[in-house]
Amino acid sequence: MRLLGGLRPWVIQRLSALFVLGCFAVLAACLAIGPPLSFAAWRAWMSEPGAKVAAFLLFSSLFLHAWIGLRDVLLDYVQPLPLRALLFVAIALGLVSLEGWVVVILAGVH
Amino acid sequence: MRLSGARRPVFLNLFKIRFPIGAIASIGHRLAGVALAAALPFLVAAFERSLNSEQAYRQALAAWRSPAGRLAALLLCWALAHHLLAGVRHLLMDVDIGSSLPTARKTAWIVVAGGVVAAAGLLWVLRP
Repeated sequence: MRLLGGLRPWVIQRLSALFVLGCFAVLAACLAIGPPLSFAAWRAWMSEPGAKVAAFLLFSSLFLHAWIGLRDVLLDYVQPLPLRALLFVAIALGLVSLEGWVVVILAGVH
Repeated sequence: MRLSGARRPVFLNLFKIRFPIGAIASIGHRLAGVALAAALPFLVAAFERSLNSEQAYRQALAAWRSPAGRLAALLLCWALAHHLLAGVRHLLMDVDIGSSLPTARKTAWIVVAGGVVAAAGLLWVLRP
């Protein structure tokens, strides 16, 4: 996969943006209309398989979107190649760790 | 006349470069995006705590209510609001809606001002 150019990152950036936008709209509507969320209700909601899949997809889209955005920022402003490579690796590792953390969290909710 | 790379004029005095409203909306989108990305680890940590136990859930809410939490909420709500609005503007421009200069200037104003208004709305929706 071409990591640094071409149409694919551009498309992923926009598709993830649309998905996150839709999720946020639904969440904001729920929070605005519904009663304040109790711990029990929140946990019960997040233990449903459907909610877990949705949360996983939402976090994954956020991380993917952040990766492409940060990548673009580094490509624009960080010119020395070794430093740029170091920051790429650091950010990629950070985002992959976050994704793993989300999986662990979701697997732990019953 | 072609200028070779070495002979191109360089003019990077930030105090003399003009920032039209489109540039402000654009750099705001970028700054807000970086701020939101920096907030991701805290988001996941809060997500974990909120699901851990009743006590941890209360602690997460208390942190959200604290003065530092209010400041973070203010910053992040603005960042999210501005980034979303500017992002939608870019998506519309991708399909050639509002990409003429006069319209783009108007929508840039809407994004910059609307970001502040929407941030207030978000703070209300996410009131602790």
